[in-house]
Amino acid sequence: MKSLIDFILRHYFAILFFLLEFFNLFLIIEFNSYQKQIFYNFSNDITGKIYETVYSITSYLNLKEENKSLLKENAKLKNLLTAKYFQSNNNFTEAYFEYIPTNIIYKSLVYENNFFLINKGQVDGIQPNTAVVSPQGIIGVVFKTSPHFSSVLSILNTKTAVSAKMKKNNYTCLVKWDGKDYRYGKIENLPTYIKVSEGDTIVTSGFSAIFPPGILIGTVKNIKKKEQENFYDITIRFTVNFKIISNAYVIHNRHKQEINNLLQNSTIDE
Amino acid sequence: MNKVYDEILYNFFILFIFQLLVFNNIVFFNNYIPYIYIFFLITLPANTSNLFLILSAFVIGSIQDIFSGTIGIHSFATVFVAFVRPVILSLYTPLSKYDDNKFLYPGTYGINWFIKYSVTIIMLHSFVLYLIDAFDLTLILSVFLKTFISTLITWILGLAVVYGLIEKVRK
Repeated sequence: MKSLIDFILRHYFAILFFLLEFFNLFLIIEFNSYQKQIFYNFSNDITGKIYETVYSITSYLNLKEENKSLLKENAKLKNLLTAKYFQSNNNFTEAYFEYIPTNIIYKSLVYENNFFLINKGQVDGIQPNTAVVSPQGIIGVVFKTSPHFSSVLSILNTKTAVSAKMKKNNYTCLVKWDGKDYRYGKIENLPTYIKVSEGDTIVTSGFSAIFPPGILIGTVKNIKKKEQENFYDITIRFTVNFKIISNAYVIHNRHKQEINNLLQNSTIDE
Repeated sequence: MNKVYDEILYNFFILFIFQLLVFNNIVFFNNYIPYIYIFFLITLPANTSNLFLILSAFVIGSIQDIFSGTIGIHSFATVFVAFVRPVILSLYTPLSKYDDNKFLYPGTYGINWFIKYSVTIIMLHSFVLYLIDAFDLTLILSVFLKTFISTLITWILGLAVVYGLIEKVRK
């Protein structure tokens, strides 16, 4: 202990110098938008490369599960294809949304605000605020992009909320996550006069230009009434198993710009 | 000893009144602002304690940052200069050795010595400043050019203020 204090006293000038410069660097990156952007692009690329290497090694471990889900999805798609022959011109989703396949190279599950990294970026046409889904259901929203990688805000994030609806009666609600268990989400704004039962399916509503309508989110697991309030406290189980996913699609809404412009212009100036 | 503190305060006010009210509003060639506040660090006596040196560098850098909206950038450069100043002083020791509590003005150890010493410090300060400002090593050539021009402007105007309003008045 004494030698440590001696060391600090002897080198206080250098120690103080490094402390102050680190503090200044922190301030520079935090408060100057130009430097901030360069720093985050740089760090995003570096961490992206590292995680991609890790992913290329560990991806073999999940192959079995992945194969299963891919087979399932294949079957589903084939069904859709045959169904399409018999359907009239209902190609709303196809015309509006473009699917870009990608791999998840990093994911976090244990924090309050989790995120993913995927190995597609600006070069592949990925923009912030586009949806990311897996074959089993939604995963998150693209948050920041660098040339070859993007970070995705997971729905396992206390700051995000997804506009959703009940599949059976189309009532809309908001799906949130309480930061505790990666398997379960919450719905808190569904009024009690709506009938809900266990096992009901929750899908995206399609009201935010980000997610296409009708993508799976989860199933109702537990229903409680809030005390002295006319709202349910519903726990849902996500259909996506975040522990094992490694493939995903980025869904790019071709008309997002147009929709957003129209939304902005539609507010009436007083 | 009190006289030293008097002089430090006087230098601080003169340099910052000019820096904040006059020079921050003068932009040469669309790009260059003379950063004469760095003369505060340059003129401190050679026996100034390292603690005072580095903390005052942080304070004056932060003041300039707050007034020019570049949080952290000037402060980074001034703290760097405060860190290397003792080394530069020992490189340029004059024949008569440094006197205690004697401020380093153009007349103190002769103008030749002062030019060598102050240009080195200003150059380092400008270089670090523009490097942090560019934040990108591929722009290094333009950083060198900016450093050169900025050093020239800062040195001439700073010298005028230090000589005319500080050294002369003090005598």
